[in-house]
Amino acid sequence: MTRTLITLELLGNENTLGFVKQVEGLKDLDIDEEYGLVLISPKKHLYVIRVNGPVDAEKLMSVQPKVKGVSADVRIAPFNQ
Amino acid sequence: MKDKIRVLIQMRYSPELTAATRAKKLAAAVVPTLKMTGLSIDHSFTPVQLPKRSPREEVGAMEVGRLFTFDSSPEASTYLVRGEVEDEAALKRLEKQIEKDPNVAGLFSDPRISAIAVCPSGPVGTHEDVENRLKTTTLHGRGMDGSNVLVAIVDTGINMEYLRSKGKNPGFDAGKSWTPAQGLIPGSLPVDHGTMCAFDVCIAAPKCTLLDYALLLSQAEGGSVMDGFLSDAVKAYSKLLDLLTADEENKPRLVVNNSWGMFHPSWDFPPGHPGNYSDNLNHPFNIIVESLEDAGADILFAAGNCGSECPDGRCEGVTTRPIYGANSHQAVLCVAGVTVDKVRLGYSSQGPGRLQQEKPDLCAYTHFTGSGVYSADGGTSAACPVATGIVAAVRSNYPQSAISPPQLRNILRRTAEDIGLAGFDYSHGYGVIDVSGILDTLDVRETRKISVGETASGNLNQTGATAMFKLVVGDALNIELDGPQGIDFDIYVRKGAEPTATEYDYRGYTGSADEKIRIKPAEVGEYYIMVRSYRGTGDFTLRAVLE
Repeated sequence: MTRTLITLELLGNENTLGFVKQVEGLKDLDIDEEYGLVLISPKKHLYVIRVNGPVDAEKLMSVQPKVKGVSADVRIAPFNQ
Repeated sequence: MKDKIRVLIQMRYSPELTAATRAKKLAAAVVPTLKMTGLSIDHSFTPVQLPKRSPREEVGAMEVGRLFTFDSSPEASTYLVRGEVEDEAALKRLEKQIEKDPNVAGLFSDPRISAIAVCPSGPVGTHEDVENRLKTTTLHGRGMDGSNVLVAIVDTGINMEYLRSKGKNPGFDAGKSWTPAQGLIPGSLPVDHGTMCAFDVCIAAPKCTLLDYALLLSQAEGGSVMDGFLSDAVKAYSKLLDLLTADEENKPRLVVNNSWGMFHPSWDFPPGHPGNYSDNLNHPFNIIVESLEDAGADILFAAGNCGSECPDGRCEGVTTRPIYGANSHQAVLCVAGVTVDKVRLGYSSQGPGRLQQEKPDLCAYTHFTGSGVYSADGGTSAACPVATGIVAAVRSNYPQSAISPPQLRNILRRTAEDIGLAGFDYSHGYGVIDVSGILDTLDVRETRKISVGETASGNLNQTGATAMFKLVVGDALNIELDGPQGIDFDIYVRKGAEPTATEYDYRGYTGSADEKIRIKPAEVGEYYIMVRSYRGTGDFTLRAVLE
């Protein structure tokens, strides 16, 4: 299944998964609650959520200014020989 | 058949040699005295004129670091000719012959140089060889052993019992560790890639405290059991960020090892796509890497195994710009791989990097017999933790408050032993990590203030050790060094910047530990003074006096 990372700018008391789940544009997505809301930049107030299924990035960013990016959840592997 | 031994012979001036430098071939008659059985002169090699070098009698204030003058006149110059001898016996005969030959000034080796790489099937050297190359005895003797430093192994999990069975006894903090799924016990995970990385960190930092971040056990669909997803890496890094931001006053020293990454562009959205990872600083993982480094962590990434000579099969033949995403981030140290003989491994990925072009940063040793997890601790997977161990060892004595992560990366790059092309190149970065250079630079960084008229004391505990002082001067001054008898300390002075052994404005270099420098007229400003042991050890006093 396709998984996507969504970067959000959340200010003040907005930094809860409960708040994110009712945000316009996000509330209809299949948010991975076990993954949760992850802080990635304290200085820029940026957080990440992980969602299952495809996301129309252009549409989401046009309707929701808190969304700062829709990114690939890339596969990674060890550099063993 | 055994290769012949190539030599360079330095000849004194003769009119024929001078003429030969302008010819395209070297006539046999030009070097008649070098006729010897077993030696053949390369007549296709035009002799190279070497100007005569003489020590400068006086080095002026504005002539920083220029110790010699050069005379290019034909009569003063010497000339290099090239040849080869059959074997060691012939080389010895040649050495004896030229000792008696007034036309010859010297004999030198002419080693083969090329941008070569190897693709060995078995290990090259052992972890003991790596210890020797990294001068771990010197490091540990100075308290640089990883003590008080957390090292996060972001990998497949580590097995502490196995490490102990291999003679490695680092600390371990399960409470600060992390796994991507319940039921996984940090420190007790199957012996695999992560345990190899942990072993290799302990080569230079045996007293570090390991943290187990078993990211690559998240098991990506369609991949091997050792694959993972970047979303889990984001989560792992958020836990590390918590460690550094929880208590600003007692911030731990944290070094993060990452021997993993992407192997092929098909694993990612295409370049130019807003969600792309490889080329996009705004990908959440690249953002959190920057945040973690900004919070004070030293982050090291392996360059990858998609080198052009023998790439990993997972690269699917793509060896152009294979240092993807965070592995090429400007906030990390990107580590390529060389054997213990300082020859690049052909699988080691080459730059330019996707995010920052000037990658890899440097090389560290890999492909040696080490942990026993595999037949060789190989890939840039092993090179990275070897370098991580050095960073952790340095951090034992130098916290982030003393040297920031970017400053430490610069020190590591600047002091690397240059191999491959001169200066930075995309195969080797700035060269092989060099502990001696790092230690010299760290010594120079400890600058103590001294006033005119004040006597400062210190101790140099080994040859090559230095002590740095800063003096604010308002008039002409004399600087005097008083050291023990029978040894040789030197003073280096530079106005406005710290001197090195090659960059300075004034230098006192008698053959003893007593030195005196007179600077007249001295300009108002800050003078940096380095006391360096040329030979021997002992206490000294330093005094600056205005006339």
